[in-house]
Amino acid sequence: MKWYREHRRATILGVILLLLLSLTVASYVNQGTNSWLGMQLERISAFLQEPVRDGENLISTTVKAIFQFKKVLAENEALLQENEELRQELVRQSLSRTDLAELRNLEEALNYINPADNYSHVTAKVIAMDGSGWYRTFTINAGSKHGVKRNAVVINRDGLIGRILDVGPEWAKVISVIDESNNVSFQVFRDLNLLGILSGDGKGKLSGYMLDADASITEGDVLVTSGMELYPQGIPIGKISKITWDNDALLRTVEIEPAVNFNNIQKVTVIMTGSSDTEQEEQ
Amino acid sequence: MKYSSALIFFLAGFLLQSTLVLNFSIAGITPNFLLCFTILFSFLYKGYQGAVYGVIFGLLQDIAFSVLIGPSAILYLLIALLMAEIRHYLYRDSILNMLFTSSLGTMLYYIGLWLILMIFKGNYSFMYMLKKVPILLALHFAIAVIFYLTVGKRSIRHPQDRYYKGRKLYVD
Repeated sequence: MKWYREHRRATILGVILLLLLSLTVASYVNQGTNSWLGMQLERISAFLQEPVRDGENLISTTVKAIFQFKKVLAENEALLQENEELRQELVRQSLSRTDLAELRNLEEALNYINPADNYSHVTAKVIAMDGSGWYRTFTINAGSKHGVKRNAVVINRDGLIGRILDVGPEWAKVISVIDESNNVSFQVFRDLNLLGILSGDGKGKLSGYMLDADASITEGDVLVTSGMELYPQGIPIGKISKITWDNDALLRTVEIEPAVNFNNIQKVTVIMTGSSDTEQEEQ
Repeated sequence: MKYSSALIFFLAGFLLQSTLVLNFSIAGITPNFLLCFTILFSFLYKGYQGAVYGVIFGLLQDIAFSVLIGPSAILYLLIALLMAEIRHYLYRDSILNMLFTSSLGTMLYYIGLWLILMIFKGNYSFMYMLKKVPILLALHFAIAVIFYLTVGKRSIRHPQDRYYKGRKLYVD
């Protein structure tokens, strides 16, 4: 006790540091799970961040509309034209009613299960993001109330973003694929027989290797998810930016430029698969 | 500086850092307001505001944005203690010393963070971190100077000073 009285500050400091270190180790061991206190803190944080982000969006869109009026008009014209072209294309591509009815009958007769039927989706806004450039982990305004589950896949219009790491009632934390240390299997879009494995390279990009060392790939090849694990098949991941031959591992390694711009993500789509719960329990 | 006044700065910093400031990023990098305030409050003011709010908001930052919970809180605490010690040796009313403290704090934070992430995840490149640091140093120094000129500089006035206007926010 005497020692404690004489070194009170050092003792308190030591205890705090020890507690924080224990917390770090505990969070590493139980990744993606949050205590009750952590959930409440995250909830308060999301509650405060959402109106700030909404206000910021309102200001930036208003300012943009004023200063870029001509550009917006030109964009609008171009989009209208594109819309018209797409409508005409749709008419050309559409199946006739009879063909569609025949296909549906065939589907029923063969008892065919459409993989797309197993997925549901929720669209959400990004309400907070770490700007330090270290993590690409962010918070979205959809949670368990909206059906979001842990390990659900997160995408946007450009491609694969990542997966749900932690989920609360009205928020969810997303870990991006470039932060991910787990492996993701991919296919080359040009030739779907070419398979490989990738993960974050710690430099804000992705790197991986081809399963077949003789795989014929070129720089610029588009990579998509293979559907072998968590991520459904066919989601764009990025383009091959560099191909090298690893003499030690005897593997063809690739560097990949992600399709998504992780510095500017506004809206995302969360894809829920029927197996999300099982995977959650497994992990 | 009162704890309540410091809380306003930290809260505003946390909210701005994760929302509004993202629109003004340079090469995808935005300043870390929480780190800046931890350094500034520990260096410019007596008391434990920097350390206390550094730990609390560091934990919040980790909960919201990191896979690991604790690294930022630990580093903010250590940096706050170091800055509190440095204030005994450095003159606070100097922009050069603001440059020194903000640079030292920033370097220590990012090297420390890299070390912790390497221990637990092993997936972050040291060179990638080093490339980001110069921009962060410049941004943090700018914030330190703005804070020092607008708020911090008044902190060295003594309450009994005959010219002191009784602005409680700036009481040391």
